[in-house]
Amino acid sequence: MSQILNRVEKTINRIKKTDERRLQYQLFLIRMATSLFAVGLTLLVGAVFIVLAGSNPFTAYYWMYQGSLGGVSIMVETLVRSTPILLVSQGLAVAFTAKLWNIGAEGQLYMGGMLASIAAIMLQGLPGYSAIPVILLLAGLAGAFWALIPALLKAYYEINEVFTTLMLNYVALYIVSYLLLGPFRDPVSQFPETQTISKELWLPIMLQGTRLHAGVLLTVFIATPVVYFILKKTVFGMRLAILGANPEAARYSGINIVKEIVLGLVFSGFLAGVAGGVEVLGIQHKMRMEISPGYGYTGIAVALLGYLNPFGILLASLFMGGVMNGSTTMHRMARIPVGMAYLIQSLAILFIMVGYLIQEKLAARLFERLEEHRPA
Amino acid sequence: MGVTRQHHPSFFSGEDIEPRVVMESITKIYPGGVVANRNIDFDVGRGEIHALLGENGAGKTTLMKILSGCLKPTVGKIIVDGREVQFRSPKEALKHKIGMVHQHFTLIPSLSVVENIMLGLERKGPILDLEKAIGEIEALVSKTGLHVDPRASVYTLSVGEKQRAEILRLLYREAEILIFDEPTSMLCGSEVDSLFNTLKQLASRGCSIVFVTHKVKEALAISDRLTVLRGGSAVATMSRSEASEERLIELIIGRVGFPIAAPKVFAPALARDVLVINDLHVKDDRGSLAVRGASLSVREGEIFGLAGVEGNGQKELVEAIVGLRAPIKGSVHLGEAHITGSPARFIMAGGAYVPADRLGRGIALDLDLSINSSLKKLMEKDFAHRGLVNKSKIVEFAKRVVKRFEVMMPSLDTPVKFLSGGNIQKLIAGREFETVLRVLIAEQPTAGLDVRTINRVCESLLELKGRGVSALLISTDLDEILAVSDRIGVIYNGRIVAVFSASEATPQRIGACMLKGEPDLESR
Repeated sequence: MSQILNRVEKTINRIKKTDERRLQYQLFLIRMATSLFAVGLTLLVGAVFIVLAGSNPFTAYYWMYQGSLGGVSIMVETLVRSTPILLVSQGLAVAFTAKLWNIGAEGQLYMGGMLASIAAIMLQGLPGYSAIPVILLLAGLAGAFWALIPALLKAYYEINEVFTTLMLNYVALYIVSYLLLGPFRDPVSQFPETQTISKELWLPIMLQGTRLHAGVLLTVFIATPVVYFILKKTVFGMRLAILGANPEAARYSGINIVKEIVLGLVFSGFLAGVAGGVEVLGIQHKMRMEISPGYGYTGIAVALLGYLNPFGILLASLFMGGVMNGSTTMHRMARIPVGMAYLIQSLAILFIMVGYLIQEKLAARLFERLEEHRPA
Repeated sequence: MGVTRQHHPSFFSGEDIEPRVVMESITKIYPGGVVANRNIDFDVGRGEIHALLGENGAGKTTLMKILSGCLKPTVGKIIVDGREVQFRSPKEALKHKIGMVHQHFTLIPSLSVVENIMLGLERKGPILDLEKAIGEIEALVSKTGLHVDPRASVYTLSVGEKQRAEILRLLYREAEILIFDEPTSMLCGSEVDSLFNTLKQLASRGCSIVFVTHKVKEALAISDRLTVLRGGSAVATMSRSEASEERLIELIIGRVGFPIAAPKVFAPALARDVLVINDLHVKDDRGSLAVRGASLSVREGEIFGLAGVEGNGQKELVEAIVGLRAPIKGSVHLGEAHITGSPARFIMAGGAYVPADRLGRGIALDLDLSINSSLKKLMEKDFAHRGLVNKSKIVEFAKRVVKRFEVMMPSLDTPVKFLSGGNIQKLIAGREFETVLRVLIAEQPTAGLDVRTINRVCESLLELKGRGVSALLISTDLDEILAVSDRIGVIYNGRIVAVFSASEATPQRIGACMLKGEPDLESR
């Protein structure tokens, strides 16, 4: 008798296991299908607008492809372009997980870049391997400090961080602009920018003949897995997730909300600051007002597109970098307005968000079906 | 279904009032499976004040939100002036002259009264003639006696004036069927009187009024007819002359009998006190004192039942004990630890808490089942060592939680929002029962559970006792409290007014004490 019961138990367990596996598989299929749907729709609707602008969409997309993926050095450029976006959005993923809406990455990036350039000028003469880490750390701290202000206001006075972080962007831009026009202006340049930092402090190039600097590899191979680890494996990450999902439940679970708010926002500010530092040491080799074409804002979209998953964000930032570079080529070769790039980016965001909605609905239906089949 | 039935049956049995609105067999099931309204019939006549009584969570507000167009019923129909109607929004309800004064005001503080009243009114054309509107409102004020200065900014108004402004807004839109959701909860004594005068005057002018409340005395003072809801069902409708305070209380609290009779094992009377609450004073969200000097102690291995009519400070008392609300005076000790005002210290001292607001407080719906099972375990070394999460420990614990109350789920990494309401309840109860080391604070722990699970909960409570763990059981269900408690305290107006031992506790005695706020000395 007990043997029979045992066997029944085993069978049930096996069915449960396969059920679970099938569920995972179906969820994966849903995700793939909706992503493809989003990309396809973006290209399709984008084509309509290209036609309206009086161009041939096939030519346009051909040059977009050429400009983003057409060859090794071009792919490297896409990677280089994606790097600051990736760093910013990895940081934002941490804050957004706790539903801390840091809109101030742009300002934090500028503060980071500024302090990095000042530090690089001060530390001139030191060997790179000792100075570069210090400079990047300082850049991170500058960004972290710029996020600390809204974090404290949010944690202690419940002031909405969306406003404070957004407003501080302008404050940061004006501070940097003052410093570049005044005390730190390169006397021999006709532009408001710092002097070029000494070559020893540039981030080393990893592939001769390209701009593939060490910061790119650091971001892709170190920062991305580390953020993944923080979000998925640490208590800090789990607390942020709980705080984001239900602040009242977080309080109820004994989580120190003030601490988590401050840490979450400061962490995102830190990575945005490092992004500024990396741009200064790796690409510009000086601080100037044009250091970011809105990386801090693009990072917000990318973090959301990647579903706050660091590896998803990696893909999303490559996509963004590709569209950015590709549309420049598109403009140069096919005379299609650069504005089309922003249009395509926006369409992509729109359709991917719609895709998420559909995904949620399908997943919900899947779970509902499972509940029905399961004996109560 | 119900096509031939023209009117609500109670309409015929009641006095001959002409019905303005009839709600027929209304059922509302929220996504997630919570049944808030179960086959409710309700009607209100011209010039009638109909009180809708019931405890929080009985389904009053849901029913009224359906009537005012905020929610759509899952099943059932609404008939206004003899014609069946369907509302897609409050605006459509207002077209049929139905309007609601919400418990929490919906006025915009920085705007003036007249601007608030005009907001969203398109029928007056694109040009806003405020002076004309002020004239009309002043006429309305003098006609109804609802004194408010239409030019005043809303933030300068007293609570009573704000409420009058809300009523004026509805009257200005020609609403004749007015729903008041707990309208006295924010008012002081004299303001309540003036509100009642207003209601009576409105009724005498032909308005139909639904007065939603959990306060029996007020319902008796103002209404012509009363309907009592309990657990989502309408349990009785009666005219004012048939109603008495005792009868209504009984209907509200429910004398249906608790489904189980748990075998009682009394805790030794000499056991040490484990949870000690001393002279606690706690303010509610609106800043008035809800707990005024409550003291009680729970012994080791004891189930202490806290009985009381809803709204006597239970909520605030519990929140102060578990640390979610800082008391302004007094202390809470758990074991040797002083835990006042800190959820973390409460948990570390061995406390667990099943909150009444399960979804709002007890769970993070977007996160998966295993994280939700170990929400409070993150402070423990086993689960989180050197800042890293011990996944296998969490999974193991989640399996235990799931097993205790047989939570039905596709897998442990299913987001909790995909579970049914009942299963989420089981998950939370299971988690707290598995977590508790010293004292379990259980707030309405069996509300919304099926009989089988209620039995499980009671068994689990007794099992805790066996291990020397105590429980503080807060429930408005007197039968539940009587079934499992060793001692029973009664909370009234923010104080513990009496403590009965299980042997001297009878439903009559405790019920009387809950109502009057003092132990019935004669029958003792």
